[in-house]
Amino acid sequence: MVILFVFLDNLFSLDYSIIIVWCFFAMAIFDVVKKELIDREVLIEKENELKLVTSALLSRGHVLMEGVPGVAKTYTSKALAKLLGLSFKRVQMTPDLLPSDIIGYYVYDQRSGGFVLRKGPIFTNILLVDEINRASPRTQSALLEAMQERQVTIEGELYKLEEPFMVIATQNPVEMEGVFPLPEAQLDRFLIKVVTGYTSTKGLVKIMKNADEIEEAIESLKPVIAHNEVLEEIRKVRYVRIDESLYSYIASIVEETRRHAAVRLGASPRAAIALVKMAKAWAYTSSRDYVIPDDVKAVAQPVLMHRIIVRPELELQGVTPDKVVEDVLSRIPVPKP
Amino acid sequence: MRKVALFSLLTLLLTMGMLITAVSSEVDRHTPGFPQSVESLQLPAILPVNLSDVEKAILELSKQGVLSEEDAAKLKGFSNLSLQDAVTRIGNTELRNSLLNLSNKGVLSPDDVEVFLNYLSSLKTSGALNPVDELLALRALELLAKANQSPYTSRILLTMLSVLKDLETQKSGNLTTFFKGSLQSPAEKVFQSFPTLPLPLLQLPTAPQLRLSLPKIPYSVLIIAGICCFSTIALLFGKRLAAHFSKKLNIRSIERMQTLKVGDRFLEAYWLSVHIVSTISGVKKVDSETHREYLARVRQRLGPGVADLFRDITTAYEEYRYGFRAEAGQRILNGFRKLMEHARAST
Repeated sequence: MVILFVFLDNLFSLDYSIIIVWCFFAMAIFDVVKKELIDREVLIEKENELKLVTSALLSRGHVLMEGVPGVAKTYTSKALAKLLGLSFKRVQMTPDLLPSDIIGYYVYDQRSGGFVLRKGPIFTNILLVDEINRASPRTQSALLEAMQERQVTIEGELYKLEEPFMVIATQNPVEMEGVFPLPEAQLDRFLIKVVTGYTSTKGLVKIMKNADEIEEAIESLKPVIAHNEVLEEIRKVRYVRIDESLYSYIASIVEETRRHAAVRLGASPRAAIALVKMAKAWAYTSSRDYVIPDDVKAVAQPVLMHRIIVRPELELQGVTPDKVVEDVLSRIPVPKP
Repeated sequence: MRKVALFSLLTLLLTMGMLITAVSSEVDRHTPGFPQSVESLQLPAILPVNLSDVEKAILELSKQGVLSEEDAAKLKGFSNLSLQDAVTRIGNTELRNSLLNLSNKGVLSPDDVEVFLNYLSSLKTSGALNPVDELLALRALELLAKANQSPYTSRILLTMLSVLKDLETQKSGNLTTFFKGSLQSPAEKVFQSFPTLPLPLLQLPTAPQLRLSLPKIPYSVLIIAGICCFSTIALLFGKRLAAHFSKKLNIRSIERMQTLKVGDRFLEAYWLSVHIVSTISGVKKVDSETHREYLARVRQRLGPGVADLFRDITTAYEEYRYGFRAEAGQRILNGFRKLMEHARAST
């Protein structure tokens, strides 16, 4: 390989770094995902959402997807799981759902004369929790505990969850009746919040024309990366370099959210950690092994907006957390020189 | 900027419009032939007419034979006539009685004088009044007005002169004496009905000459118009001119600049490139803006060659600064040199 580099260098005066970087990202996870889902129009106009979810997966985080019904939240999660060769399960949350319905429980087995564990849907790689805010606070907290600890305790027995483990929880921003809004502390457990909206008219026409084909395409998706390769990618993200000045930049952003006049509750230290993790993953999915200020800016809104609580009086005036983050980003100078 | 320029232009037009309106209305306000200043106008109210002038006019008319002997006798000693004499000499009984009633009234108000003058006018129009009776009646009225310190005395005297002039006109038919020419000033026209012979000398204003030059514009208006003109030109073209010169100065200042005190020549090269690009494009980098955001914003203002060059410099800077790739530093430096050459060539 080295001989090849030297040969190419002499022949085309190429920079070693370019070749090394190319080799490093030859199998970049997002490139594969994008090629299969976006370029082939299995998911239409969902590139940003897909990149965010992929980055969250590589950061070992969980995603809260907010959007009205019918904007491909389930499709996105399912397609990603299938492509990456990961197991996928879905739970529809209802107020009468019990923690054991998600985690699992022991049942008496007459044949063996003992209790056997019946694992819940949480024992998967990607768990889609539909309408999380419809579940009771008890069930919600059980799920969120599992998300944080990456393990569950059933009848005193500790069970490690599979790796990678990612929860994609959805919630409808419109419905307010019969729901249990997630407390701030529990919202903080989600690495990012992805707000997914409607497609453009052009995109909608494409969806209508190819609705059946899209459904078939998702069902027939084959894994393009092996399970262990995904784990390897996750490991690589940890080694994405981040300059010292960018840590200060992130710290300034997080602190500014606390000082902002419109904010009642700013971002926590966990938010700062999440921002670093996501910036690294975003850089990685952008085929870089180093973070630039643009990565921080790109993930600042999804990371911070569900962690910020705006003053009620200003909320009534139309001030939203995403606007606050935007304002904060426009104030904090990027590292110089 | 365009809005400001438009606003300034409108202000200029408005100022000019006001100026033109003011000048034109100034011309229109003055009736042709009248002086423009009040000082040069002598109003009829201050005419130096007195009874002796009237008497002189009567004597002159008597000499010319305009007045019969009988009429001249009636008017003899006109200026020294008392109220009673004047009333007694009036032949028209009705008029005499009216005058007596007026004298018996005691206090004479301006309305009374006005009413009596109108009464005389109506008698004259109906033909029931001869000029001698009219003169005597006016003399009696003048005496009554003087006794009551009425401001109508001058008007009564002028009416007397008018009567004498009418008399002369009727008897001699010589109109030419009353007209000095066709080009009379308005002031002269006012007095054209007066007898010409012994009339008091009135200093009539001379007809003003035609103004061929523009009226004198006040300095303040000129200054405002000048400022507006300058502002408009500066707003429309000043930025381009200033940008052109400042661009040259800035590029030259970069050449003289030794270092940006960053401590790293590659990083310095990048920030100098940003400086050059901002000078060329006029788009400055905001502190909160990332390098790529600035590139995206500025590239629309740059030519394709410079835009590509600056994109390469930015990419190399990111690799060097955040990717810790030392070899990218040389690419920054090479890009900077090319950019500098381009900047020198373009300015």
